[in-house]
Parts: sequence; structure tokens; C-alpha cells
Amino acid sequence: MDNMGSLNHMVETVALSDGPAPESSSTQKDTSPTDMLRIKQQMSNQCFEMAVHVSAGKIKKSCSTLEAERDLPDYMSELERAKTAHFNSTLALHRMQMWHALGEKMKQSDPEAAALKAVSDRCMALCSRIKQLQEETRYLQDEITEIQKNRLEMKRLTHEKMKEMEELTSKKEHADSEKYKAVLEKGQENLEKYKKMAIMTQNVLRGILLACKVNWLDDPKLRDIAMTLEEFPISD
Amino acid sequence: MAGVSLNLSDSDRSSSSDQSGSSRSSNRSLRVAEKERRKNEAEDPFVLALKYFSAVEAGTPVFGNDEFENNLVLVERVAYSRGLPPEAISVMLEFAMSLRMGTIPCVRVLKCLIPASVVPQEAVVRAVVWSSVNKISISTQVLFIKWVLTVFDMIDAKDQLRAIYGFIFNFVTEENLCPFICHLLYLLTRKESVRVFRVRKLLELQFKLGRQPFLLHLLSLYKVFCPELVTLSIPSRMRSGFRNHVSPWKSALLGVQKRNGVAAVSGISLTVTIKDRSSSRKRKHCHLQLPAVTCVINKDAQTEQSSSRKLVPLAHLQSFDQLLKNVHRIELPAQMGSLLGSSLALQYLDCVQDESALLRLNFWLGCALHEEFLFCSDGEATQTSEEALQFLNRLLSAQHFLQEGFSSSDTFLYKFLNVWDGSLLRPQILGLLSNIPVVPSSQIRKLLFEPLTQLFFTSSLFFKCGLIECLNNMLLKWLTWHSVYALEDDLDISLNSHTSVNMTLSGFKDSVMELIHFVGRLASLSLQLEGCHTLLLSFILDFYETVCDTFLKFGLPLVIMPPPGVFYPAFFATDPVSVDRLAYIMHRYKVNLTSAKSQEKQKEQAFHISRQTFQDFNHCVVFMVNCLWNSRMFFPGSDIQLGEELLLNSEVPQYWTSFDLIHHPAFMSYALDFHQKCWPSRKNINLSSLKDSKPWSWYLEYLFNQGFDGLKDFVQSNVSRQVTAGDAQHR
Repeated sequence: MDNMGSLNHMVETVALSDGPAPESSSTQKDTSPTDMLRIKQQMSNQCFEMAVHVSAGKIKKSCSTLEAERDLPDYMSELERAKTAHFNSTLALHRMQMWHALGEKMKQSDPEAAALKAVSDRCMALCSRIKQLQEETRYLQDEITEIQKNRLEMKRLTHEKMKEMEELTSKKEHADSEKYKAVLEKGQENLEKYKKMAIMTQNVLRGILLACKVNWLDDPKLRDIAMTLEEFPISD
Repeated sequence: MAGVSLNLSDSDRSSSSDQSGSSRSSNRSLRVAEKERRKNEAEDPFVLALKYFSAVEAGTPVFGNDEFENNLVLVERVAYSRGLPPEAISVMLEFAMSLRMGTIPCVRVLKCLIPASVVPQEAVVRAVVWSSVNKISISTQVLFIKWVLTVFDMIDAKDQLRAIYGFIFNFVTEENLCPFICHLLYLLTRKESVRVFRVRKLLELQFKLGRQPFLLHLLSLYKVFCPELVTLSIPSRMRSGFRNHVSPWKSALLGVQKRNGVAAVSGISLTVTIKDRSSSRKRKHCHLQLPAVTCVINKDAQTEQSSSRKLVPLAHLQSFDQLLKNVHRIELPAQMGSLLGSSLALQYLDCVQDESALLRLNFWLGCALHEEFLFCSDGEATQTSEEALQFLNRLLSAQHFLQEGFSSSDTFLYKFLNVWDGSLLRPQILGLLSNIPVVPSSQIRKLLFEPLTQLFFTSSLFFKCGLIECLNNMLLKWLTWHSVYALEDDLDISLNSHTSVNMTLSGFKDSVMELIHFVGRLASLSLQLEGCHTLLLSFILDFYETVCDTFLKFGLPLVIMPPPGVFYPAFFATDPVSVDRLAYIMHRYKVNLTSAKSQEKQKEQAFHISRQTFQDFNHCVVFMVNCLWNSRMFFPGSDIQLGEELLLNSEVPQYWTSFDLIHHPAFMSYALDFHQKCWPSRKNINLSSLKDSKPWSWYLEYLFNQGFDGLKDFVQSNVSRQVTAGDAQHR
């Protein structure tokens, strides 16, 4: 690029100065200005292409990592499958050999065999006991699950009933008011209007008290009023 | 002094004029004792100090005032040793906030306001009014509000505070005060407090300050009370709890309460099923106390209007009948956390589904859990055991009673799993984990599986067993919920009566499948890591006992076979219990699959068990029968492939018989035992002689009588045998 810069400068000086190139510039490889311009153009083209290739290479690289990440879980599960298969086969082989040896030993009648037999008898007894307990546990667990299901069913029914009750109570309220609908609506409107006024007045009074920095607690009348500024006698 | 002598002379006069006997004299001695006491009190330096602070003139200088300094030091000493009684709190708070001696003593006094029992509401109200009247610096105001928040549960009643809601709300515009004021307002808000202009103010503040969590919390509470007034959308899973502000009084409060030995607040009065045994115990940490169920209004005021009051406070109900009678007019206490201790309250809450109450309860619960387990910066983690244990047990029993969890505890758990070490309060945390409702399959990996995987593979065998059991319970609960709530197939089922998240049947099935596959993967890998440890295998088989019956027991049309990493280690197990259980599981799978197939034909419902499932099942059963019955181990096409040479090198004669019912590691002892009993005289024990038809059926009978019902069912349903005349067994 520095070469480009100096070349540019050279070209500029040649182009600016009228007339033929000065003696000093002709030492630059006897190329005419047009040739130099052409060279410049070629070089800039080549640089552009190189830049495009570099960026394309980058994109390709990021694409491949994305793909690799997508395939990673599959590869991992394949790996796990292979490991499991290997483990299982090894397990089968080991157990087979081990128990063949144990069986052969137990068929004999030397003291080691007797010890082995004693251990295996104890194991059998424990297994029966365990089986018994597991049966009980299974039975109890089934009962627990049943009870939990029933309780949950009760809960659901309770909620349903509560919803029905709410619907009924709200319906009942409206049933009688059909006749006086217009009057009720007008009344409601008025209520809203006065309610808004009341709230606004309360707010304004509160604002005044705050702005004047009055200690309203000390005056009993003011206190009584200020303590009611949140209340509204008719509930919403 | 003069007053005392006057009283004495009074009593002298009255006693001399009296004729009757002992009652008068005993009264007299009482009076004398009373006067003595009052005289002592009047001379007590603490009482004198309080008198000073209540009577000091405005404008008295602070610097160089020895009397002031001595009295304040005395008060501070009492405060830090046994806490200040309510009257002292009133006096000192009034003194500080009225700025009678300027602003400097105010901070100092606020810092030493450690209450011994209760904080009178009057004092707090007065202080708030002073705060709006005087020019107190912002930092001091912040300190005051922090103090109110710290002792909030100890304030004896809240009705007056609610009456000045508007005055408190006014402070929200002050940027530094805003978070704390929002927190305080959250605790005091009722439906009537929600006004349009307040909502507007909060939205303005949000515009200025951004979507701060404290503003969002308060707005969400407003929205629950009056959804029509608050139209902005609140994200449903907010960071729960207001930020844990550092409270300078906490450690001093702890010290005082420890020294006093008895809880400041009395025990919970509602005791129907859950008994509160904690009142005799020392309380260590404030934030884990389940506060008492109290009324909002002070007791004295209440007795006057009890007949005309429309609402019955929950604290007054003693039995279920009373609850039923008053169910339409119950007033909930101000502190929602107190409901967790009483089953009556929980029952009511569950029935009525009051959203605001649930929101506040979740908020309190979230705060408590976060403060205790996530935010504790001090090194007192080792002391958390006893209190935290009791609290979590209480929470667990509440969840157990309601048969569902709380959303704040779920959120807390998701965060806690990332920092948990796997051993702190393990049974409680695993219990809470099993109560999490169905998680949508898109989030379940990130929220649950990733932290659990990390914990699982870096922990001990017992944790692995515990976690598998926890996930088993979780699956059971999900399935139970489904079997009760999914009445129609395609309708949205609501997961949790508290949340509004709905899930379709297929979404639910996806989540269940994800869970089962996750446990399958964990099980396979852990069995390899732990060398097929029997205890671990037992818990895994427990899980698959649940999975094999999802269709018949719970009505969910889903059948998932155990992966090879579980099936084969279970089959090759050296103890007969595991093999028997595997046989039982396989038998149940067959029953479920046949039932599903027949239902599919009859009802033509949408569910469909894939061919792959049937193939996997057949594969497993064929393998088992070949090994156990036909003595054809290592047959071509099975998963266990070992080269011919390798098998010959193992020097096991007739290796293809090595896993049948006679030679299997689990049953070999039984075969030897049977052989011994059958032919006691034979010297050369040849186990293969048991394969002859008569000994074989006797041996089978003997084996099945050992309690191996699973094996019996499996053999009966999968193996067709010739039934000889003398054979007692029926198919």
C-alpha cells in the first residue's frame, strides 16, 4: 500500500506538471504514466479480489462451526450408544466368567466353598425379606397415589363449585335490576361523578397539607380529617 | 418525691379509718408495693433519660451538652442489650424526627432504635408526618424508611398506616427514596388504595427511571387489584423480591432477640392440622420467622365494633366450621407469610383463589427464600441449618397440603440449583424440586436439566439416588395432575391453579417425554460410572415402575421403553430382586401395550403407539426369554455381541446357557440350593440336570415361591409351555 501511495504521488506529480516527465522520475523503470495508471488499477482489482476471498473464507469457517454445533448432540449420543454397548458386552462377559468360577467353587466341598455357601444362603434370606418389603411398599405407594388423586379431584371440584357460586351470585344481583335498569345506570353515573370529585378533593387537601408542611397530627380536628383521606364510605 | 409522700399519707388515713380485716390489709400491701415500684422506676436512670428526651426544649445545643450525651449513651446501651420498650421507641422516634436538637442526633438515634417487643403504630405515623413537615436530609429519610421496613412485622397494627397511604405515596417522587417507598407501599396496598392518579404517577416514574423492578412490582400488585386501570404488560416471571437492602439493625435485632430468649411475636393461633411448635424455640433469623396471623386493626378498637364489622379477620377463626360460616367475609392479615403455618388459612386461600393474596404471599416467600439462601453475604452460612430446616419443612408441608407448589419457590429453585452444592438441606431442596409443576419442553432443558446434570455427575452416590427419587416423585405428581385435570383430550389444561399458563395435551406429553429421556440418560451414564451399584439400580427401577404404567394407571397414552443402558445392567444384575423387578416391569409394559393397542382399534382415538416402540419392546422380551428360558445367550441379532473367539477364550463351557434361570448370577444360589434339596445324595452337582422337564417345573415352582412374583408374571405371559398333567401352575 505504501508502494501504491508513492506510486500515486509519482503519478500525480507527473500528471500535474505539464510536459514530459522530469529526469528524476524516468529512473522509475521507464514506464509511462498510462502504464502506471493501468498497473495501479490492476493492483487495486487484485486487492479487492483478495479481500473478497478472505471474507469468504471467514464465512465458510463460521458456517462450518455452526453446522458442527448442530451435529454435536447427534455425535454425542452416538458415542454414548457405542460406550453403552461396549459396557454391556463387557459386563455380560465378566459376569459370565465370574459366576461360572463361583458356581464351580460352590459345587466343591472345601471350607472356602462352605463359607461361600453360607454367604449365599444369607443373601437368599435377605432377598426374600426385601421382596416382602417391596411388595408392601408397592401396595402402600399405590394407595398413596390413589388418595392423592382423590384429593386432587376434590380440589378441582371445589374450584368448580366456587366458580359456579360466583356466577350464581353475580347473576342473582342482576336479575332484579332489569326493571330499574335506566335508573340504576343514572345513579351509577352520578356516583362515579361524585366519587371522582371526592377523590380529587381528598387529593387536593392532602396536597395542600403536604405543601404547607403543616403538622396536622397536633390539631385533633385536622388529624381526624387527614386520617380519613384514604377512605371512601361506599366500597367499589 | 412529694407525690409519693402524699400517697403514703392517703393510705395511712384510709387504713386508720377502716375497720374490716384482711382484704383491706392485703390491698394495702399491694398498693405499697406498687408505690415502691413506681418510686424505683422514677429513679431508674433509663426512665430519667427518656423523660429528658421527651421534655427537652427545641434549639438546645448538641455540642458540649454532657447531659444529652450521657442520656443518649444510656439509651443506646439499653437498646443494644435488651431492646427498647414501645414507649421508649415512641419517645425516641418523636425526638429524632421532630429535629428538636437539629439533624445530627437524628441519625444516631435512628440507628439505635432496636425494638424489644412491638413498635407502636402511632410513633411511626408521627414520624412519617414529621418527615413530610421538616427538612430532613434525603439520606436520613432513607434510613428512616429502611428502619420501618426492617421492623414492619413488629408494628402492632397497620390501619393508621393505611390511612396515611397517600402521604407515604407522596414520597415516591424522590428518586433515592423511591425503591424503599415502593416496598413499603407494596406491604400496605389494598384494593381501595389503587387510584388512577397513582397509577399515572408510577408510569411517569417508570418513564423517567426505566423499568425498575420495584416499580414493576408495585404496578403488578395494582394490576391484580384493578386490572382495568393498569394496562401495561408486566412480564410474568419477574425477578422475585425487592432488592435485599443492607439493614444496619438486623444483627443488633438478632442479638437482642437471642438474649431475650422468646420470640417477639406470639405463636400462630390457628392450629387445625399443622401444629406450631416453634414458640418455645429461640428465633435466630428474623426473615425466616413465619409471622403470627394478626388482625390488621388493633385489638382494642376491634372489640368496640365487633358486631358491626363486616369482615372477620382470619386470626379470629378457630375451627373449620367457623371458616365455613364466614367464608364470604374473611379479611386476610396484612402479613401474608403467616398463612403458611396454618392449614385452615391455606385451605381458605386455595378455595377462594384471591389473586392479590397469592401475589403477596409469593412476594413474601420469594423475599424470604432469596434473602436466606441467595443473598446471604455474611459468613454465617453454617448457622442456617436449624432455622432454615424448619422453615423449609414448613413450606414443604404447606405445599404437600395444597398438592401444588408456589411460583416464587419455583423461581427461587431455578436460581438456587445453579449455586447449590448438592448437600446443603438436600432432602428439603429435593422435596421442593419435586413439587415444580410441568415445565414447557422448550424451557425444561435450560431451567432444569442443565444444572441438574452438572450436579448429578459431580456428586456422591447418595445424591444420585436422591435425585432419581426426586425426579420420580416429580413425574408421579405431573401424571396425577394430568389424570385429574385433563378431562378432554385437546383442551388446554391449566398447570397450576395459581398461574395462567396453559398447556395442551401434546405439550404435556412432550415435557413428560423429555423428563423420561433425561432420567434414562442420567441412569445409563451413572450406572456405568458407579459400576452398576445395586442401590442406584433399585432407585432407577423404581422410576421405571412408574414409567411402565403411565397408560393404565394415569391415562396418559405414552409408552417409553427403558434404554439399553438401563435394561442390560438390570438384566445382568447379581441380585435376584433387581432381575425380578425388571421382569415385573416388562410384564407391565406388555399389559400396557396390549391394552393400548386394543383401545386404539376400538375407540379410534388420536393416540398411536409407534412401531418403533413395539419393536423395541419385542426386542427386549425376545432377549430376556432367549436368555432365561431358551438358554440362548449371545444369539445373533441381539445387542450383546461378543466374538466367537473371545467367548471360547473365556473358558466357560456352554456359554450360551450362562444367563438362564439356572446359571444366571442372580439365581445360581437358588439352583444350587434346589439341587441340594432335590438330590441330597448326589456328589457331582450338574446344574444342567435341572433342565429335564420334571425337575424344571419343580424348580420353577420353587423359584416363584421365593416371592419372585414379577418373574412369575413375566414367564406366564411371555412363555408358552407345555402343561403336563401333574403341573399345578395355570397360565
